[in-house]
Amino acid sequence: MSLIVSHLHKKYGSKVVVEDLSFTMDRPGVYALLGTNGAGKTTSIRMMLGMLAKDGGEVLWNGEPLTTDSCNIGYLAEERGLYPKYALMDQLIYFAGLRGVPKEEAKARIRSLARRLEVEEYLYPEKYTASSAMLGQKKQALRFGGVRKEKPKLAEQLSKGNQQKIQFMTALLSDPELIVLDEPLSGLDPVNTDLIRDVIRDEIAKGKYLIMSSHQMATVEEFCTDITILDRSHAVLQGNLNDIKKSYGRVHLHLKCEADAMPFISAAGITVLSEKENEYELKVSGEEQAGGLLKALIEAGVPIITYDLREPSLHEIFVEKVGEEHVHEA
Amino acid sequence: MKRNTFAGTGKVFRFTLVQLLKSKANIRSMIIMLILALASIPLLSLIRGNAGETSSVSTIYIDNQSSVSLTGLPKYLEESGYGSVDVKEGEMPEKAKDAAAFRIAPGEDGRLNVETAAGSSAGDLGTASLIASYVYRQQLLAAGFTEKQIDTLTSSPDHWADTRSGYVKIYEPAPGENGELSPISDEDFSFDQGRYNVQLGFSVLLMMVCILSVSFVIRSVVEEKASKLVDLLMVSVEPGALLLGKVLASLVYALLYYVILLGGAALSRAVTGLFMDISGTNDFLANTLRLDLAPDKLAVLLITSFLGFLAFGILAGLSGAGCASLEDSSGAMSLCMFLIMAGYMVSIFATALGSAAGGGMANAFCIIPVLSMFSAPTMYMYGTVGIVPIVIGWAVQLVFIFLLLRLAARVYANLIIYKGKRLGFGRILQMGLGKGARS
Repeated sequence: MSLIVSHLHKKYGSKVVVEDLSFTMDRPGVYALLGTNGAGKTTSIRMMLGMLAKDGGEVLWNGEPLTTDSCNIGYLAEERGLYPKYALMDQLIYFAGLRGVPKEEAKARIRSLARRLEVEEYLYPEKYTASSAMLGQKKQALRFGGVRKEKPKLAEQLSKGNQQKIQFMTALLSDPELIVLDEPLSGLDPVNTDLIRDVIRDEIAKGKYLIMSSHQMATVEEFCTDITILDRSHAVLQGNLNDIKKSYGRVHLHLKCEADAMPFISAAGITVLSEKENEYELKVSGEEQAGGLLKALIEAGVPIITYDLREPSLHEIFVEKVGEEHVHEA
Repeated sequence: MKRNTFAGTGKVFRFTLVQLLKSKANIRSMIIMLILALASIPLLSLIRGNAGETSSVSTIYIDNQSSVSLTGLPKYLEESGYGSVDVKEGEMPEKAKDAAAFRIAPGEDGRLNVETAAGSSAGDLGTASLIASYVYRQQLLAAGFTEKQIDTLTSSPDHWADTRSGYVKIYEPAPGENGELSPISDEDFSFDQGRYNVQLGFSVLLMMVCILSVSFVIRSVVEEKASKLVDLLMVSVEPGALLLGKVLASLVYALLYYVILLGGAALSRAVTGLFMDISGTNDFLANTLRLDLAPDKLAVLLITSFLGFLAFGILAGLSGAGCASLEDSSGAMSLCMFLIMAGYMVSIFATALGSAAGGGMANAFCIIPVLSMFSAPTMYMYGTVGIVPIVIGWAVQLVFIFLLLRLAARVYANLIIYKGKRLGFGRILQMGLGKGARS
């Protein structure tokens, strides 16, 4: 299976919003679409999924135009919501039904995902209340001689984070081959972020194709193998993340000492990215310059706690690349 | 994405309808509607009374100054729907409970009059009319007429038949007078109250169902947009199906209201009849509504109304798609309200004009989308138009609906990213006809 996006183009009036975007996923994994706000990520995704007309280009899945008929697609939109006044279970079964999942199968998948994402108490309020009763909280749970009949939960009764977990479930209800997640973790607390990350890891392990758009570089970096960075409608960097990192070389040095190392850093002509209580983030030209600094510190007897020379992180690459573009633009 | 434009309509329809039926507010309003329907017949019967108010009269005092024998009067009254009535000649009491007093005396022209006291009730006047009828029969019998001849003389054809050109006026000739049959010209104007009542009731009912279903569609479309669900839905179902499913569900829901209303009234009529005299209400309904629901007429009514509802529903969907928030939805109603009111007014005026609205104008009313749903069923029911303009009207409606759906599908897709002020219908039309629609 493969996904080929070629020469995708879109403009509104004279304003180009996506310019000649092309990339290929020829194996399962995660492809990251990164970019600043308004760079064209969501528009690209909408065009790929056929929700928005393309002014140019095509999207192929196994050599065929990508449609919901040719590919089982799961989609978590950036603009996402739920029917606020409708019962959650009804909505999930409806969304699954629209994707062609039979009711019983949908129920089984909902149950499994609800357990994983810890939203069972909202989807199965009766079971939850019955459990409370068994735990001895009979005063709360019993009424008129029986277990109180809990009303189905409505979306508006859930916190934003829990709503987001339900929305995430909708993307996976059809057990899709291609999963498109537009900002899947935005606005989630660390606990819920971990729950969703675990599910994403499972989907990757199952051999699914994922396209992920996010501002949270650390999360994307954890999953993705290939990236495209978009800036103001066009791709400014594309390729395999490891290859990109290697092309930058080991130029980031994290240094922590027990004494002030600043004189030695200045003497070596190294750029300081940040400094806090003898802890430094430095940008070096290469291993030779970093080695020179290390040698100087040792010879001067400055105690070193951390010395970590590494490739730049995705965040650093993103900031550098997009920043560069903006400088060029200026 | 090349998918069947309407695949998934059934799923959207079922979900929307079930959610409408589950809504607490909707359940409450349905219960209120049912209570009103159940209360309608008892209330109407209390207000209108019963058909034969004289039936409560147990004694009739008559000052008979004629030679007509009244011996058969008690039986005649009984056969006319009265209970057992005691007829007393000569005695005229000052006051009597459940009694009525009359005088039979020759008038100035020599004809016999049946008189009752000035300011008598409708019941007294009804009884007087029956006594007059009895006296007339007795006079005819005395003149040598047979019962059969008298029946023929006293039962004339109704004179509220059709008023179109080519028909003739039929009226009851008075005794000794020759009945003349005179043709009615196109210029003659004859106001048919029964038909007008039916048109008025039908138009009001349609208008209410239209307003209800249109508001459901707009609310549903706008809620979906405001809840940011469009992206999620559009990846699974085509915009045309999304809209058509909603329109059909809203229509069925609105119709359900009226099934409850009419069913409740029918149930109320059946139950009320068990413990209350509803003959007055029955007479009132029979006299004020002249309905003819033969199978072909019922079919025209149902098909034309369904197509009309569909057209209004899609227009509502289009209008709703131009809104970004629930606050905008009242503005979106205006176009639909305008069209509904136009259809309503035209149908009422056309009926009030009677035969003046015949011919080409009537045919046009049955063919023009939006107008036809209000006018065509009653015009066909009363023979103002034949089946040909009705069928042409259906074809025109179908084309109109198809074009609307195509337009709606394109606009709905285009509006995914739209979050600005409410778009007017002109702008939506422009968008739908222009580039940028979903591929």
